[in-house]
Amino acid sequence: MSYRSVFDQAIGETPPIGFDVEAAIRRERRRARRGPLLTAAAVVVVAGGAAVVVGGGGLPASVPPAQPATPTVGPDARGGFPEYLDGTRIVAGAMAPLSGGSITLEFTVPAPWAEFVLFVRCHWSDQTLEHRHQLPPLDLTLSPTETARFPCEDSTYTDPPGAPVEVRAGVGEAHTLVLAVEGSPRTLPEARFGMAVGFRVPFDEYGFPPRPDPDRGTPALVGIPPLEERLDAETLAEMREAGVPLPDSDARTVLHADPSRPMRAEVTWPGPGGYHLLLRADRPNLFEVRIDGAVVEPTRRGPVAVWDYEQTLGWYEFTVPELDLAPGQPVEIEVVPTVLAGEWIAALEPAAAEPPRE
Amino acid sequence: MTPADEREYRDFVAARLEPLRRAAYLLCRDWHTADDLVSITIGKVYRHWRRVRAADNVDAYVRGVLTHAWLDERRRPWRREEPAAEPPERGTTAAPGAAAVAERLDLLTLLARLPRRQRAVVVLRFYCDLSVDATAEILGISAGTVKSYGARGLASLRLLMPHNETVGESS
Repeated sequence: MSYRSVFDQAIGETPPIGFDVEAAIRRERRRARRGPLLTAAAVVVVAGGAAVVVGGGGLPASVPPAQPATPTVGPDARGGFPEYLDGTRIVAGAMAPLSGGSITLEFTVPAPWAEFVLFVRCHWSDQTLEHRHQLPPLDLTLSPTETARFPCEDSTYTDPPGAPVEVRAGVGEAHTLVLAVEGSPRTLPEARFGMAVGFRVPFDEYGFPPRPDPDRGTPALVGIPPLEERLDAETLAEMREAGVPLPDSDARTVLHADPSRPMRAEVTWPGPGGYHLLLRADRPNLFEVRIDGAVVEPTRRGPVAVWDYEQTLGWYEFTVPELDLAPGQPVEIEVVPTVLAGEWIAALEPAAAEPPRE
Repeated sequence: MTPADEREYRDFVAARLEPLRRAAYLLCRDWHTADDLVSITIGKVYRHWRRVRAADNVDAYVRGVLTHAWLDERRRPWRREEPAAEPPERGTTAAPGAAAVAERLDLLTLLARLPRRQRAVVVLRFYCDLSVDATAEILGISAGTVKSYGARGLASLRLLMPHNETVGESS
């Protein structure tokens, strides 16, 4: 018996196809008429840090709505999560003490499941902080046979890993998720855990927070910190273990912006890991990225976007394998804000050529 | 794309659609996501059809596009799967039919728990039958790393082979 046949047996029958090949072809024809459009990689948002350069004046200046465009959900139904979070509208959320054991979210699916985003969080007090290493993992039950495990941290998690077909629900259908503390309930003081379910909404339908008054001002120009200060050690170790090409902060290219023009830089392509774009903006905005003039298509989860006024550092990877860029090949990378005027800063870091650790 | 190119592309996609969907399912273990990945893949292949068909190994090229679509989607450090330190214990009292289902699920579950690139190596090498060199080129890693990931991945999965059956590579 071959490995292939073993895997084939494990896969079982192939279900009916879930997309329309002809529609995909029509989509590509339309895209071809618009011009080249390339696909980039994943989006990561990392809180903290400072930054480097400013740009963006003289651009179209429409103001995002500060009020939600859809009916509101009562705060009790969100467990303290905001109604709009990271490009999504939260339809259900809950928080509970870690001693509570588990929380259950029941919600009606308002949009295609492809727009689904899950947020899992832990909160703790200073008193609990010293016991942080004791915080138990959280087990999310997606269906009777499927679970996913998350570390209990204050981070935000999205997209349940390996979300199985069983949890897919159609628009208008009810669905239930259960998040439970692994093992017996813990009594760590004031430690809480929670989750929220959001569905992505278009930029022009998003309920942006009110603009701060006074403004938070220009994004800090003290320098974007190196990778080791942007990510925790565990995440770094995991990425290295997974063979993810990490950005090389020492080889950073700062995009010095002319306030009246988009930012661009001539760089040399580093290899398969591509470039990492670090970006911070002082207000909601959408950004277009071009490599050698070709628009790099944003991630499947949406465009390069800023959803608030928090000046959070966004980190975007651009691998663009279909460009067939050779290591050392000169390319021009351009960043163009498409919605608003405003202050924003960015830098480019090439993925290091470090091979994955054995 | 000329009409002739498009006919050629359609024929290619029609012939490869199911294998691509099954490979995508092994990577992501979810048919909806698998279809998303294949949809992205065939879109990219359409855009670059002339380059694709000129490749030395068209199937390897397309599987590379598929694998990158999946890896790109999963590079968020905040989304973590904790690889199991040990495989789950196998039940000994279930009915034969239930045991077969459990083994099937356990194999997929263990595959899903492999680190991402290791999982990609296992799928590309042992399901898509790609060579070490082709797999290394797709993933941008060394041939030695492919061998290491493949061996370690199989060492995890082999624990669940039915009745310790001898399994060999299919190519």
